[in-house]
Amino acid sequence: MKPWIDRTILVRQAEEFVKRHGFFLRTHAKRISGLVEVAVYNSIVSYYETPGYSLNALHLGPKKSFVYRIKSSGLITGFSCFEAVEKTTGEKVLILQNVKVQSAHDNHLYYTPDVVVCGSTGAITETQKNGRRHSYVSHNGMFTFVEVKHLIPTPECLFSFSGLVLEFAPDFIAGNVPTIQSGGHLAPTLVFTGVPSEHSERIAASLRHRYGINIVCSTQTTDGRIASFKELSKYRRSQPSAPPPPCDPPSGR
Amino acid sequence: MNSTPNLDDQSVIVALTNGVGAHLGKRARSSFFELARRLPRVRAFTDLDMDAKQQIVDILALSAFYSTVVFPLESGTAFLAVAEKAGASHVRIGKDRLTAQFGAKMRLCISNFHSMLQTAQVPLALLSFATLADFVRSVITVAQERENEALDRQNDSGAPSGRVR
Repeated sequence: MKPWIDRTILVRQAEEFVKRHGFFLRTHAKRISGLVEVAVYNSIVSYYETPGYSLNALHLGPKKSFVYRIKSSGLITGFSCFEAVEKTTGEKVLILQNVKVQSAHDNHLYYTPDVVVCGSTGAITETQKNGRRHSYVSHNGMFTFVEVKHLIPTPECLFSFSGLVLEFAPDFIAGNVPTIQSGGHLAPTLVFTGVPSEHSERIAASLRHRYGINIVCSTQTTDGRIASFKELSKYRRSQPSAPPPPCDPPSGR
Repeated sequence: MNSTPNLDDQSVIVALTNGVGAHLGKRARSSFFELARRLPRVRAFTDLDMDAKQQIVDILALSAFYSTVVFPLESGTAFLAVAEKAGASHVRIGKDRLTAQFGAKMRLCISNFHSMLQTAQVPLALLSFATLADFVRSVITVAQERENEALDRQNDSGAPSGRVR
C-alpha cells in the first residue's frame, strides 16, 4: 500500500478547522453530544423518507415547534412525531420516541425503547383502573423498536438485548422472520455510542446472523444516520399473529 | 500513550481536538485511542510498512472525530430539515431549541470539515466502518485504486498516439 495523504497538509487543515469552529464546538458541546438521541430518531425517519412514502409531522406544539419527547411519561398526543404514509397502499407508519411498548407475552408488561415504529392503529391511549390515562404501543401494532445505549458495547449489553427481543418481538428469536435486503421495515435495532472491542464485534456479528436483528456501533455512523441502510436487516411484515394467551399472575405463595 | 510503537498517534488527533473543549475532545480522543490500541491485532495492518501504517492511524483519528463531533451535527441538521419540510418552525428537545439559525452554524461546520477532507484527499466513505478489519481493508483498497489510476494515467501519457503519419 502506497500512502497518498500528505500529513503536514492534513495536520494544518485540522488546526485551521479547529481555529475556525473551536469556539462554536466548545460553547455548544453538551447540546451537540445530546443530538446523538436525535440522530437515532432521524435515522429511522429518513429510512421512510423515500419516494414510496410521504412524511407528515403530527401533534406540533406552540409556534409550530416539533416537540421531541425525551421522557416516557405523558400521552402520545402531547408530543410531536412523524407519520409516514405509503403512497400506493395508504398504509400509515408512526415513528414515536420514548413510548411504552406492550410485551408479546403478557398484556400488562411494558418497556420504553428510545424509538418505536408502529402502525396507525398500534398507538393506543387507554384509561386505567385508577382513572389515569396512559399511552402505549400494542404488541400487534408494533413494527420495530430501537434501543440506544450510551456505552461501549459490552457482552452483557449485547446478550441482554436478545432478551428484550424475546419479550417484545419473539418471532425474531424463534427464527420466524426472514430478513430481506431492501424494502419493508427495519428489524429491532440496538445502537451503541461507544466503540466495540474485538470480542464484542464477534458477539454482535453472531447475534445479527442468528436473529436477523441490527446491532450498530458508533464507528458505522454516516451522513447523519446511524449506519448505511444497505447494511441493516429489514423484514416484511406479515399479518399480525393472534395475541398470546394471557399469563396467570404469579401465585402469592 | 503510544499504542502503535514508532508511529505518531498524537499529531492528527491533537490537532483536531485541541480547542474544541474537554467535553467533545475527550470523547473523540478516547474513542481514537481505544481503536488505535487494537490496530496491531488486525492482520492486514501488521503486514504493512511504516508509512502505510501511519496513514491508517491518521485516517482513524479523522474517523473518531467524525463519529463523535461531526456526525451529531449532521444528524441535527438533517432532522431540522425534515421537520421544517413537514411544516415545523423549529425542534424543541426538552429546554433546548434547535432553530434554523443554529442549523446554519452546524451546516457551516460540517461543510468545512468536508472541504478539509477534500483538501487532504480523504474519502468520506473511509470514516465509517463496521469492524477495524473492514476499515483497514477499505483504506488498502482505496490506496490500490489510486495506485492503479496513477499507473493508467502514466501508461496513457506514455502510449503512442493513434494517429498515422
